[in-house]
Amino acid sequence: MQEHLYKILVLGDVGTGKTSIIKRYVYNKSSMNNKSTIGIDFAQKVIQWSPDKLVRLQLWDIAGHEKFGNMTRFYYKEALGALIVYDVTRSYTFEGVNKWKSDLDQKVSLPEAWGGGPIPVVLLANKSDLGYEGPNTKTDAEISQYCEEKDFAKWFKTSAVNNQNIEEAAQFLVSEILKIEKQNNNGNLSYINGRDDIIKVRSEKDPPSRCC
Amino acid sequence: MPQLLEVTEYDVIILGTGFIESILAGALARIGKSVLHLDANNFYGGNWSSLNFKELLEWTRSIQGVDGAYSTIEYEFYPIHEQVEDIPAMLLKESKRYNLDLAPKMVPCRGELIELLISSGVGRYLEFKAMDKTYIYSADTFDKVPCSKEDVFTNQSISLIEKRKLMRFLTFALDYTNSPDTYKDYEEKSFTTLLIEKFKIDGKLLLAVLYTIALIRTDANDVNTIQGLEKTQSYLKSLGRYGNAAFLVGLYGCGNEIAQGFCRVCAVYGGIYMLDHSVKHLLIDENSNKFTGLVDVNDQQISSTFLVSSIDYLPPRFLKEDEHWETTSRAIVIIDKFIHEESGDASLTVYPPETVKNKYPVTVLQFSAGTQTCPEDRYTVSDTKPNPLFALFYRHKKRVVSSSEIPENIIIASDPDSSLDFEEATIQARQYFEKMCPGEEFLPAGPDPDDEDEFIV
Repeated sequence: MQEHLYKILVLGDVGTGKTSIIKRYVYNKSSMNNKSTIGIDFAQKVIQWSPDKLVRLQLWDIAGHEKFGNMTRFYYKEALGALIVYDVTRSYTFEGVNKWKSDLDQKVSLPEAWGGGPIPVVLLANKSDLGYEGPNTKTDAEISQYCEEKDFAKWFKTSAVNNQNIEEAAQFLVSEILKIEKQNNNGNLSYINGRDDIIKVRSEKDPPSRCC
Repeated sequence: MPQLLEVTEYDVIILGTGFIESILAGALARIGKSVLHLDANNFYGGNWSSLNFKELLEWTRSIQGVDGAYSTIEYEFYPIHEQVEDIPAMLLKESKRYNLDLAPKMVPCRGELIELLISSGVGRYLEFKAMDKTYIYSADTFDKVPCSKEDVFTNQSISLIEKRKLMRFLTFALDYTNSPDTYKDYEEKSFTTLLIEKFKIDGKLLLAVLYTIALIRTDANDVNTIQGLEKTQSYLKSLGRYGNAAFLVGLYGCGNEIAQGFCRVCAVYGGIYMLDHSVKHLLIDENSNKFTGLVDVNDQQISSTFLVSSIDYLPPRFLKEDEHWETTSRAIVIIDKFIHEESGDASLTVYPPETVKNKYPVTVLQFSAGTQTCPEDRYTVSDTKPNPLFALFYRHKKRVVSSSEIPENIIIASDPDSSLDFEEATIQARQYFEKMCPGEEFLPAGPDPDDEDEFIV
C-alpha cells in the first residue's frame, strides 16, 4: 500500500466559510453554529484513492492569523496545494482572492524534487446555495477567464450547507497533486519520509511514526 | 486602507514577537485569554529574529543611530574571492536562502525549553540538527573537545593520563551531589581551584572543561565550585538524548522559529496578529499608575487588562541608565569554507580568554547549508578565519528597566542575554505567566490533529 501525505492550505477572507468547508469535507458536518476554529492546526482526512493508494490529507485553516494575513512560516511550510475561498454573497471578498493568491505565489513553491514550481490552487465560489445575484456578481465566464489569467487549476461553485461540490473540488486538487508527483517520477519528498539527521522533539512515549 | 480592528478590548495586548513575548502569547491564548499581538517590524521575532540577507542589511540601516539595544554597527563586504567580482550582488541574489540569527542560541537537549516544546506540542512544528562538534582554540590550533565517554576514548589530542583525569571528573560531576566529600572543602573556592587541586586537571584540558563543557562565558575566576558543577552537570545530562550532542540548533534559525511556533499556538486559540504595525503611545492613568490601553498607528484606541511588551516599545523613562546594561559583542560572518575539516552541519568553537587578545571567551557558532540557514558553499559564523565574504559587527545590549516606575499591569519581556541558550528566557516567560494567571496551567498540550481523523463518519 502506497501512502501519500499532502498538506493543503485553505485561505480566504474572514467569514467566507473556510471552516465550514473543512468541517463538511472532513467530518461531514454542517457547522453553521461553529464560530471559529479553536485549538486545531489542521483537520485530517484519509482517502482510499485506489486499491493500492492511500491519501492522507491535512487541511490547514488560517486561524487567528487570518484577519491581516500575517501567517507564520509553519503555516505555508511544505504545502502542496491550496483552496482559496470567497463568498459569492459578498463580492468584495473576491478582491481578497487576488491578495491570497499572490501571497501564496510569493511564499510557497513545490519541493525541488517536484520541480519547484507553483503549487496547484483551486478557487471556491462559496455559499452558492444562497442563489445571490447582485450588480457585482461575476458571471461564470468571467470567473473562468480570471482563473486562466491568474493560474488557478480550476474553480467550483460550492456550498457547505448543501454539501455541493466540496468533495469534487478536493478530489480534483488531489488528482492535480498526484499528476505533478507522477510527472516528476514520484520524486521523493525527503521531509515526508524523514531524514535521519533531522531531529524532531516530541514526547518519548509517542510512537515515532504512525502505522496504518 | 488602514487595517482597523473590529474588537478594541482585549485581555492582553502583546507588543513584539520576540521569544518571551511569543511564549506568553501562546500560553495566554491557550487558557482562553483574548490576545492581540502586534509587532512594528514586518517580520516575526523582534530582537530574537532570523533574517535573510536583504532583511539583515535593511535591519542594520533601521537600527543605525537609534537609541535602542544596538550600537557600533558596522558591516563590510570582502571583495577577495577569485570567481566572484560583485559580492554584494551575489549575496543579495541568494538572500532568501539565509536565516541569520541576530542573537544566536542553542537548545540544550535537557532543560526548561525542550521540555516545554515537548509538553506543549510546539516541538511538532520544529526541526533541529545536532550541534555535536566542539573545538577549542589555543596557540594557532584547534583541538576537538571530547564530550561523551565514547568521545573521551577515541579522542586523539589528549594523553591517556589526561583521559583518566577527565573521566574521573566527568563521572563525579554527573552525580556530584551524591559525593559531597569530594567538593565540600572547595565550596567557598573557585571552580578552577577544584579542578586543579582535586582533579589535577590543568593546561589545555582545564580550558576545555571551563569553556567548552561548563561553557563559562565570563572570567572563570568569578565562578565558584557549585556554579561550575551545576553547569557541568547540566551539560552532561544533555548528552545521549539525541545522539552525541548536548545541544540542538534549529533549522531555518532558532529563536525566531521557536517564537513563531508559540505564535501559531496563540493564533489557533484565537489570538490576532498584526505585523508591520506600530504603536503611537501607551495610555497610563496618572492617578493609579496603571496601563489602560494604547493608541496605534491608525489612531485606534485599544484597551486591555494587561500589557506584555518588549523593551523596544517602552518610553525611555522606564529604562535604567546605560551603565547597568550587559553588552555582548556579536558578529555575523559569511565564509566560503569550513573553519574545521569535519565541522558537519553545526559546530561550536571557543577561544578561551587571552588567546586572541580577548578578556572573555569568544564563542563561534558555525552553521552550514544543512541547517537551512545559508546556501551550499556558504557558512555563517560569528568569527572569521577562511575567506570572509561579508562581516557584520554590532554590540547587543540587554537593557534594564527600573521596575519601581513601571505600572504593575505591564509585563516586560527581556532582551536576549549573552548566554548560549534560552533557559533563562523560558523561565522568565513561565514566571510571568504564573504571576498574570495564578493557578492556571502553563501551555498544556492541545488536541493532537493527527487523532482527529477518528471522527470521520
